[in-house]
Amino acid sequence: MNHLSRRGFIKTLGVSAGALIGTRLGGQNLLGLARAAAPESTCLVVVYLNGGFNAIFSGADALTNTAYGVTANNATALGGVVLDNTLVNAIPMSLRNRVASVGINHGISGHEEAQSKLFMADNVSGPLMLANAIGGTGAIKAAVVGDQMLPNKQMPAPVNNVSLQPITDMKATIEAIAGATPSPNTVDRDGAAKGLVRAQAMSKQTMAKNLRSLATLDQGYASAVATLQKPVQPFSVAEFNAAYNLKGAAIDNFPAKLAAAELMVRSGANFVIAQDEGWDQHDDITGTTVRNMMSSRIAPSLNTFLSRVVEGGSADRNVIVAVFGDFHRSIVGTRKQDGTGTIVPDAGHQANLAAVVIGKTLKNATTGKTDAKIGFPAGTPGIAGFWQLLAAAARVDTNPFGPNPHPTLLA
Amino acid sequence: MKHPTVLRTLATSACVALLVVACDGLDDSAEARRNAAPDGADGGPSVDPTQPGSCKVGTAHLGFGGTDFVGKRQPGALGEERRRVKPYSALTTEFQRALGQVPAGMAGSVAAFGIVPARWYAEPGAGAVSVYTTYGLAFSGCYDTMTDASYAQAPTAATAAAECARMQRKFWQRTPTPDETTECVDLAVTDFGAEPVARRRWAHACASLLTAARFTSY
Repeated sequence: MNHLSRRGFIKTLGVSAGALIGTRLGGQNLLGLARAAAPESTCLVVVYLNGGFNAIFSGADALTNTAYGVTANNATALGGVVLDNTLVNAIPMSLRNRVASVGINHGISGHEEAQSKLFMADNVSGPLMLANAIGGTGAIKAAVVGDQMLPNKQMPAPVNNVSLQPITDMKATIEAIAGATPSPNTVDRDGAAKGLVRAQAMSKQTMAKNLRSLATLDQGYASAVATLQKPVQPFSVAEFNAAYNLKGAAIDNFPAKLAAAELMVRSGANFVIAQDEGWDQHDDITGTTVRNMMSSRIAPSLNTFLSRVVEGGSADRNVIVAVFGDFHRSIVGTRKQDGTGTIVPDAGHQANLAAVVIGKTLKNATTGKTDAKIGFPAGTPGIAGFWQLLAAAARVDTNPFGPNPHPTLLA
Repeated sequence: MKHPTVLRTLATSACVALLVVACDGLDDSAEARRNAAPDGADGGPSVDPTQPGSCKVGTAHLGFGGTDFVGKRQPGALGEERRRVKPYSALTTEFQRALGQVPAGMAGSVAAFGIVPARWYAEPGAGAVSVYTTYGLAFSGCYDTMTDASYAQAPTAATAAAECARMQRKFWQRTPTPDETTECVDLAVTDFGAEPVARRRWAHACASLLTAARFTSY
């Protein structure tokens, strides 16, 4: 990262130098030596579609004219990666050569097990391992936006003091980062930092006896103080509301989640996850329902996010976006309908998955194309291979997950 | 008519007492954990008052998959892991109790504490944003209610010690330790020594107490 490119970033976003002091973007002159294990400001943003991720979104060509309504007209080839148009339309033109799909042969067809294991590396949180390995100076290094926990209601144990922080309110988050409008009875950031340090000290006795049950509170003190001790970064709620067409500060819909994801990326986070519910579509035997969900709920704000954060900041930041869910839907079979017992068609659970990964360190290549029965070739890596790829795409000094088994996907 | 009832009560009490004694009298085996440390001064086990006695409480609870669904339960020490983070709804009434009024911004801050869909329950947790928001609400609530003339005077070591201890007792519903009061005094007197508005210094001390775990958990 050179000095000129940093200036370009500042001009592009229209923020002051103060906005950058809190992150590595400020460089050594302003910050002192940034403890970065990745060469530039780096973040993995996960878009998690809770319930399932149809293969039409990660390797549609395997299903052309055979399943889920895939035709030559509703999918687009990005090099060797063929995706449904509803997802392709969310990707800015200049990023379409930076899209890969990665196969994850996890062998899991249960929701809870998939949601648990997709975010674990051995017995440690994959997201927090990666956030720790990326390093940097962000006060909040890992965040879940709009929810309290990871899928399957997991709140992972911290890794080297990197904890997962829930971000559920834009206004409150921005006030912590930028400060509230001053008034006699409004708290100031510096004062709040001092007060919270003392509050944490006064909580030691209580914490010592409740290490697990109050773990989130203890982590909250540390992250809040770290955030408040960073220099002010001038974000505004109005800017995000305008960009993502939001109505309020609560992060309770997908556009708001991606707005919060942008806020976290720009304030120095290394991992962010935004979840969307309702993707366990057993009755969707033509793929119409998930196409409609993708085009109406996900694509508009994903396009905004990719344009502003990935495309717009590509000179100074390495932001990787991974879109996936629990598993693929299987070739349509049958099931007994709940209640009536009637036999009905069923888009069931396939025990594998491919994720779409977008970012400047990726290229149009795939290890995630299935066969016509939505199966993977033998030897396709599992969940560990996915995290190994993500860490390689993040360009960390030392890949904490091991060597990347998907080297063909990297630019 | 009363005599048989008394006898039955005595007999029942005796049986219960025997069972209680029996729990502590079991061998220190996989089924029975004694409330004793292994290296007592007399060569035998010494009593650890933080460790509960326990006894074999029953057979495994096997589910349809043959898994004992309580198999992962870990015995814990007495009084540990009992406290939980107060949810937004509880904080609202707790501010009312502590300050006599709910901070003005409380109603507009619900999202900062996590959004739980109607008719659903989620175990409350905390995070950087909810902790900061709690502090901000507490500060404004404290400032707005600290209208007494005494809060127009900058805190001294003596006045802060008295006021901190009073607030701690009221907010936390227990007597603070000397160290806890010292933290509060140092905050009001030293950390905010350069703050020109005395009332804000007091409000910070008050907010710090209302953000400590003794107030934000129960």
